[in-house]
Amino acid sequence: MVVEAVMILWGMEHKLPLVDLLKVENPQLTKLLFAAFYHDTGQREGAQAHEIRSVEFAKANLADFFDQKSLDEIGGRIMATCMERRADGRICQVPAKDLADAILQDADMFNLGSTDCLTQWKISCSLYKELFGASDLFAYDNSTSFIDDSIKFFKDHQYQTASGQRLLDLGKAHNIHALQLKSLSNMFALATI
Amino acid sequence: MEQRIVVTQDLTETFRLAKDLRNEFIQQNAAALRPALELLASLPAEKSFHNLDP
Repeated sequence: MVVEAVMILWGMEHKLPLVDLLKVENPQLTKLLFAAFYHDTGQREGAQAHEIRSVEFAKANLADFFDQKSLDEIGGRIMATCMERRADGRICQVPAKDLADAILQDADMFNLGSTDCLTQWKISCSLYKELFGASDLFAYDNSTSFIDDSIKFFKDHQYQTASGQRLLDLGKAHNIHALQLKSLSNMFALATI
Repeated sequence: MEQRIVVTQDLTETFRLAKDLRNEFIQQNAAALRPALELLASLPAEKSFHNLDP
């Protein structure tokens, strides 16, 4: 989904019809798409700091296809998908260096504003487990604190691109509303979403 | 409570087109993408869900 989301957001940001996206070679887009394909490969060894391993894996496997400068660019893009805990306690994406970073970040968080977000809640839990450090996923995902932490995360998150905001802000607001209802009622098991 | 979250925009067709483009990109760069695709395919769903098909 992230790769497709990058394509959609790139096209929108550059006012380029999606059907024309690959008709003309664009090195920057190519490297961004490689970053999108490789950005979660470090998950094999676990979520913690997986972006660093993703960069290593990408550089090791792409050395025959890109020069060093391009490898560094792809690595930098992957690192743009990192999250950080700010001084005020908010968990946010690291600052985007440029539009391409912002597109990848929005693509990586595309699901927050999509209809799949809560219907895929069980597997989405892994993201929040990673973010909030829950030790027991299945004890956590039905708890009020999990829902409240999720609401806070959704609210703190901001789509970086104009296209991401236009396309996804309303969907995210719906998802936040659904979570708030869930938090208030606390009657339904999350597994039934 | 509504179990299905409201669809704000129907992106189904857009994603279908993007998926075609992704497949085209994979074909164009098959050798370079193979390691990533094989690794992602081996991950459990909870670690790779948002890299999979929408």
